[in-house]
Amino acid sequence: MATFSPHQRTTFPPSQPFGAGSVWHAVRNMAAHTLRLFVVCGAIAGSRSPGLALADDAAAGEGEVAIQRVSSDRKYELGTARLRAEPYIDRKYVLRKLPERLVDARMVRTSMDDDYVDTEDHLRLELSGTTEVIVAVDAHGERTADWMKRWSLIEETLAVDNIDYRLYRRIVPAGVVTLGGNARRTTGARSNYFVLLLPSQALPDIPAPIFAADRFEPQIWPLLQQRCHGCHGADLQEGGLRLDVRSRALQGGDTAIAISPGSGERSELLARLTTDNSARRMPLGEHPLSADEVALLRSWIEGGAPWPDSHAGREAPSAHWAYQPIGNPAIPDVRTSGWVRTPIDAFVLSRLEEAGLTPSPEADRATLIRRLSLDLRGIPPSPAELRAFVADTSPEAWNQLVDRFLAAPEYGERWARHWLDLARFAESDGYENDNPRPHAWRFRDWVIDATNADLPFDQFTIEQLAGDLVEGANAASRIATGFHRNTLHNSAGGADGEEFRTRAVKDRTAVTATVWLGLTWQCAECHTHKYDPIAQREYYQLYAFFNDTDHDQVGEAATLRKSERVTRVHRRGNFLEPAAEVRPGVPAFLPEMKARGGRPDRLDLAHWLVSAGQPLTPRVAVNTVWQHLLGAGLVPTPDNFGVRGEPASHPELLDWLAGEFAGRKEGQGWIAPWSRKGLIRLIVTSAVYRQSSRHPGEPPAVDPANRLLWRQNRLRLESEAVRDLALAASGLLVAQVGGPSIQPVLPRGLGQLSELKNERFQETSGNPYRRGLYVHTQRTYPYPMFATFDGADGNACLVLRDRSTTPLQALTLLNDPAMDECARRLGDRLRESTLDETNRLMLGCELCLSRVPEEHERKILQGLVDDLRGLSATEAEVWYGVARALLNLEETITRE
Amino acid sequence: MTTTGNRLASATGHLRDITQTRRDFFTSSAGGGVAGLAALAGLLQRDGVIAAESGLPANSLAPRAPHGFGQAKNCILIFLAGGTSHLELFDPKPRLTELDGQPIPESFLKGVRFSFVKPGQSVLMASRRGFRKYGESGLELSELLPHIGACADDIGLVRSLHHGAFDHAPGELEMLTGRDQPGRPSLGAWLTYGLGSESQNLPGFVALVNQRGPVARAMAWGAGYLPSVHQGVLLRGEGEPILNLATPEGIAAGQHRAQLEAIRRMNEVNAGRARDPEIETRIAAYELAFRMQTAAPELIDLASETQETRELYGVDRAGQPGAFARNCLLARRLVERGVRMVSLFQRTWDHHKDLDRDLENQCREVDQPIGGLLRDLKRRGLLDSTLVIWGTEFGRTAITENAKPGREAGRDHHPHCFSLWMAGGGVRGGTVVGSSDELGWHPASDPVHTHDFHATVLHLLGLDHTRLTYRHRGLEQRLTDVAGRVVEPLLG
Repeated sequence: MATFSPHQRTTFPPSQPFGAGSVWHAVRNMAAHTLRLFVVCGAIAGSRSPGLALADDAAAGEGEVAIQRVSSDRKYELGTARLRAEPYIDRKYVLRKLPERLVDARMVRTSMDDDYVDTEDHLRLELSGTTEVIVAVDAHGERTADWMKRWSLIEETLAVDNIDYRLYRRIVPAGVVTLGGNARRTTGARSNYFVLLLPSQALPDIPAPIFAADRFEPQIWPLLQQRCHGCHGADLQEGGLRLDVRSRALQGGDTAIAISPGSGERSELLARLTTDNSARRMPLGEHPLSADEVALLRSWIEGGAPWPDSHAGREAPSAHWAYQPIGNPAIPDVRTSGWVRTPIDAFVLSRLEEAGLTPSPEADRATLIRRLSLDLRGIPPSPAELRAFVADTSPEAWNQLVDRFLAAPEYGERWARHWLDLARFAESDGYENDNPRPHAWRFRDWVIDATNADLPFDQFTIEQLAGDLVEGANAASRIATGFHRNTLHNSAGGADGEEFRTRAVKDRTAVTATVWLGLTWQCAECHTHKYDPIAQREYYQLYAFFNDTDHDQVGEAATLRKSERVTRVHRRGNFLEPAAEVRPGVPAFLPEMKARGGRPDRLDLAHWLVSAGQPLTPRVAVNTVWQHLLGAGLVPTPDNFGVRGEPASHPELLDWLAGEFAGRKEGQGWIAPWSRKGLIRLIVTSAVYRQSSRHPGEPPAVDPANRLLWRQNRLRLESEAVRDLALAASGLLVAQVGGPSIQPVLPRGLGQLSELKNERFQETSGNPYRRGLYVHTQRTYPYPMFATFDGADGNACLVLRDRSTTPLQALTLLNDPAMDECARRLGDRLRESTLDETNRLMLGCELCLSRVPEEHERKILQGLVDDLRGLSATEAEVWYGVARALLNLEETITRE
Repeated sequence: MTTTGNRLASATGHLRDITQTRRDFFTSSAGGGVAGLAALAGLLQRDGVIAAESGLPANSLAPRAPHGFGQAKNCILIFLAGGTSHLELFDPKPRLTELDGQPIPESFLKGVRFSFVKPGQSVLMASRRGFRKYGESGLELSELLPHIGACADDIGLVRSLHHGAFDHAPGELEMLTGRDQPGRPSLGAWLTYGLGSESQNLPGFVALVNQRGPVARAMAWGAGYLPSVHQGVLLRGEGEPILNLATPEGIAAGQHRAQLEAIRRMNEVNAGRARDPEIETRIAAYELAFRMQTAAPELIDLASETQETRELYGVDRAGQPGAFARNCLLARRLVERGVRMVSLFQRTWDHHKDLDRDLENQCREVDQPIGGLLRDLKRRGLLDSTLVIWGTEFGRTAITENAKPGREAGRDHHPHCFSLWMAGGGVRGGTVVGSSDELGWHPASDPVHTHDFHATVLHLLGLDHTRLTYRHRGLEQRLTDVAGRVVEPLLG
């Protein structure tokens, strides 16, 4: 069967008889995800359509029949009945016996796999003239489906392979005929019906009530406009229902068919207008429609729901900026060109100049190296590094420093942590039992290694989503799939396994959409997205990619198992209410996916996410990196690039960076394709990054929040960095990369929290002086210091950490045993140095603040030394006191 | 790393010293502490305004005006985790008594899932416990709850609560965070986010755990996606009352003070240089932490309570573990000091077997302390401004988990219909809202979903659940998701 481009369509002359040589015309309506086949079916003399419901872009003429809708989303086809023809699209069975009069009849080839469908509205056919519709049913069926009770059994039979089929018939007037499903296999021994269509000279057995199409505009349209479109129109599609576009209106909502032409009974619209239940009666919360108005709508629907082309409407493709292709903006010209170091600066400066603002001066060298070291490595510079950089004023010094830090193993640790937040990484199951996952660290190490090796982000993506399916899959690429093994698991005694399995699959779906697409996919779990063009069906199409894979961990080996699971829409998001089946797929408002084979799989999805033309992944990835270096994303809602997210402060810069990052430029780019190190290097070498973060006396009224980046942002360090800095300053830090996590001592008393076998939290394991990244993450029992400093607990994908300021943070820095030990060791370090008192204070400041103190600061610290001595403190106590004060400074835990 | 050993004993000594020098801390440097604090108050107020008007995260606990209704200022949630049996305690079912030992009609099983019970093998089980009419209102409660019953005229009882989470962790999360999955803020976090805290020297949200805590552990008082300042602080049963409250061993109070002085002065220098308001907030956080070091040990020291009060709660009852009673008394002391939310957990109610025996023991343990708390609050004039809630994650099934009813039998989890009550804080006393069917299986009238329960609690505390929002993942998130209605008949 040929596939045609969306708008190509040919009409066969109505006089052409049925039979071989008929030209078939397909219109594939991408937006609606419905296959529509327009086929010459034979016109009936004298019969006229009372108002066909047709595709937007093509009104059917005479002599056509169309498969308008299949609830299972399978692509039924039209064919011709004859011996050896195949009545099913998914089986090789053939017609072996066929009554003479049915030879060359139109045949709707159905899916045998649809034998389970139990809706009353499974298959809708549009007939342009009166037609004898024959449903062929496997004679093994135990009973007929309810919807077939009004059909007449005829004497003729046919056979498919060696199975006899009964034939049921109705004469149907022009318009839409709706057939139900196979009612859970009652009508056949694991087989579905198929349909034969014959033009008929006979009069329809039920005279069709007719509603003149020209009454639509004056009578129906105003009613829809005034009473429905507010919630079911262009701006809002409550329940997935849209009533201002013909094709969408006839498609129905998420859970029901609103308008079933010809049948008031099957039209949910009428039911919802007239129900006594005020929580369901439309329009919700408003006065109900009058009896006359309801009667009018009923007669319209029963009269075939004619809807003229003039009001068919059109679903405009989303104009939202983030869904548009990535542009190729020119680097703007700026007046203060001397300030510009990279194209980033030109983009930022151009906005600043427009707003009449000027950038802040460059930060001093000590601030710069501390900023860069904390941002790239997560630890402060050593005093030697600090002094060397401050002294080295060569123009190459900064770039060399950047390269050195990017090459350091600590870089991978620091940036792995950002990724682990997204991956909701933890080392226990969560929920009641919260069992440990002793091998989870292997995924953490894979991320560190991949980050240090600068594995290109497209590969990085593909291995994590489909490392088991890639060519040359190996142990490492299977460990990468640990990304989605990080979901929670409820192993409680009475837990419903399927409930938590589907929950994990939903989590994988939502996290994938958040991390790569910046979309709030979870909103479409229960209903069509209120703001973004994501239908509930599309939610489950993405879900389907993950639904047929089960993650296992057997000993050290991570495995993924394929299952034959079929994906269905969950009505209201409830896994106990499966509805129509869906196949894996991506949303219609984004570029099409090119699958390798018939049924797309996770590998196809991963390739699609990083494919050329997919606009979201590069934008989201660039934005995430940006926010770690400037404190806020160019899009300040990094987890929502949808309609409800905030727009980008610098859209051209975002697109320019995204295009560079994804390697979509001709010739030599600024960044090697998909290189995160390259992207980071470009950002940190910009003048924008190197600005001072100090607040002016009076922030500019046009931009008090610094969205235009007239300065750097001051940022409180993340929980791990607070810890690592204290360990580094005290000299305790152990630089061992990777391996099993460490279990620091946890305070007693938290042991009451449940039977978590808390003894194990009272014993340390591993070297306690390793970086915070290596602290064991127990989902229901977070390490207290990290919880206090807004750390990630691994329960949900965390795109942006808070940076709160609380009294408990003060208590932690002052009194937590680990912090206290750092203070004591730092005190020893100062006291045991061979320096004089002033230089000990200098060293303390270098270790904690990466700078020498100003004179009045030195005096305050000297005053502390003197006060402590005055309180007859021992020398150890004096220098411990200095160290404790330094480690508690606001500046110490802030990246300037 | 060093272990702190028994730091509290020595720490209290330091704290006493600190108290004596506290005045110095706030006044010693000219233009220092007090001025700084005043500046901070302005900042916090400003944050509050920002929060109220734009929904931006307010990083503070400054008291904020409620939306304008409700009279409760504080909330004490007594969460009896495990699943308290509504059939024994709150919802008499004479028909169930008649059907004792009979199989359950199949119609009841439709759409209902169980944790352990096998419906085909289980039979209906009558309550072995009687009910009594209490108070002038004649509210029917279990004979096992005489002290709570004595406060019946202050109690609004809901007999038609329902949700869909039938395991402990999801059930707790559903009741405590409005969603049966981890990651959302708990009720107390929402309250301090919405209202701030009146307390100047204690956290705004305190959790107390008795024996075994909730299975949701820290998520039961977590801040979810709200800033961590809203996270509940666990008041610990052993060691220091608040984690890391005590100054490390061996630091003389004078030295501690000198260090804090230096920290403040250095921070002030930096504030003058960087001019980031966040530095003032940090300075204020250190001052609050310092006050907490004094206030928290004073809080847990019950020496100032009279013998009569101790007896009212049963703190020293013979043969009864006193920790629960002590926590109830602490709850009163906390709300007295302006703490917005106190969550009290005891997880001993999961009666899969030996329901008869264990329930009696558990009731004996909690009835007097809870009754005592209600009466104590009332006589001090605090009950009108304090909402007290008996909470649990679900009720229990009308069928036994065992083959036959009897003393050893128990009941399975039942979230489809169960009971809880509220008292004080503007609740209409002596009221029953909603009813269950004849087996206590499904709500028969006025069903109250978790979202409705939360909407009502927020309403009683003066917050409109549709307006208490926090922007997260690009959406205005709410405790009640997109649902919830205030249960009007519960309002006084």
